[in-house]
Parts: sequence; C-alpha cells; structure tokens
Amino acid sequence: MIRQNLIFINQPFRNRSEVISFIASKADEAKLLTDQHEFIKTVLRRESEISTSIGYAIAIPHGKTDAVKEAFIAYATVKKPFEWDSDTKDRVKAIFLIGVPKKNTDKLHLKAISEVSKKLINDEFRKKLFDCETNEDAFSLLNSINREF
Amino acid sequence: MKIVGVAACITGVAHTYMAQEAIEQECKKRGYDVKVETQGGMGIDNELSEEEIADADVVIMAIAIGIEGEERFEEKDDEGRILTLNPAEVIRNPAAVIDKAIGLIK
Repeated sequence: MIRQNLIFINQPFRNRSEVISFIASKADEAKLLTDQHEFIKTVLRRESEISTSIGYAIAIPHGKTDAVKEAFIAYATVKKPFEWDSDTKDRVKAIFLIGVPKKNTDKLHLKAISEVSKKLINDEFRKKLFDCETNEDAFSLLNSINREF
Repeated sequence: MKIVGVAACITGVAHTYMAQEAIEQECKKRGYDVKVETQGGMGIDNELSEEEIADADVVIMAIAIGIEGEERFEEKDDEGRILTLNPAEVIRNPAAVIDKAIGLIK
C-alpha cells in the first residue's frame, strides 16, 4: 500500500495543484493510473466540495475513480508549509494523496488506508512522522502501520 | 459517561475512519465509554445495537451523507441528545466537539 517510490520528502511545492499534479505523474509512472488527467480532475473536484486539509498541518486529497488501477497512498512533505486553500487558510506541511478505484476495491487496501488515516489523529505518531528527514525513514514508519494487522 | 457515534463521509475512504479515531481517542482520554460505528467504503463496521444506543448518554453523528439505520436514533433525537456535524470538524477539534456533546445532557 505504502510505496517507497511514492514518498517525496522536503519538496519545493508551493501550492495544492503542484503537489497533486506531481504525485499523479509519479503514480502514472508506477502504472497505478489509467488516466492521469482524469485522476487529477477527480481529486481537485473533491477538494472544491470540501477542503481535505484536516488541520495538524496535514492534507489528505483523494480521488475514487475508474482512472485508478490499483489503490495507493502517496506521501509528500514540503520544505516550506503553504496555504492549502483559501477557505480553511490552513498551512500544510504534509500531504497524503490517496487513489482508490471506483469499482471492486480490494477491502484490504481500504483497510490499510483507514489504518494510516487513523494514525494521523495520534499526536505522537504525527511527531514521529514530521521528524522523518529521509524517504527511507518515512517509508519505514508508514510501512510499519500496515504491518500491524 | 457513555458516548456512541456514527461516522460517514462522502468518499468513505479516510475521513470516516479518522473521525471515528478522533472521537474514540478523546473519549478514552477522559475515561468515557465509547463506541463509534463506521459507514464507509468497507460497509458498516462496529455496528451499534439498539441497546447500546439506548444506554448512551449522548450520540455524535459525524456524517456528511445520509446513513443506514437512522431510525435507530429516533428516541435519542426526541430527547435532544444527538450532536450532528461534519466529520472534518471532529477531526480538527475533537475536544471541543466532545465538550459540546456533553453539553446536550444538561
């Protein structure tokens, strides 16, 4: 579920669209998408309904669409926190981009995504996550969640 | 103190489960009994029984969509013991939401 090639630490992104487009292109390279542009459109549409900033300097943009071949979670942090959207005005440092196929979604994948999401509510876990300075550290921390069950 | 709740968001992938966790974590911190049903992409989990609902002091509905089995909560609704809000609100500020829920009891 958590893939090392979809973790991007201390990136120079300056806004929401940049992060989403960049990660979508990487997910496409990893053969997880059938239609990169459709995926981006779905994610941005979801954002426009309600911001996916959850507070705590974290946002979890996501898209459930046929443009996703296999469920995934990508993770990115930015060097400089930026304002996620004009409604919440939250400054975001860490972004989880989630892609889920519209049909026949594997329950184990959904379970894994829900477990990662739940961890974000935990103060201690967030501290550990924000302390990760390298791709390897972040991967090993995030991957440990999915190994717990 | 006994608190039950239901969490359900639009996509059913992340917010539902984060809202569940936020309510449970805050209640446990305070030593309250808590159970939160989730209605998401994995279907209904942790389903609340009629008895559990009847025993609850207050109900928190962290929902962005209509839910299954809404009629189970009619009595609590008549008693004014249901707090309904968006899942994002609970995730963002669990302590304030639990305070508000308890405020319904008095």
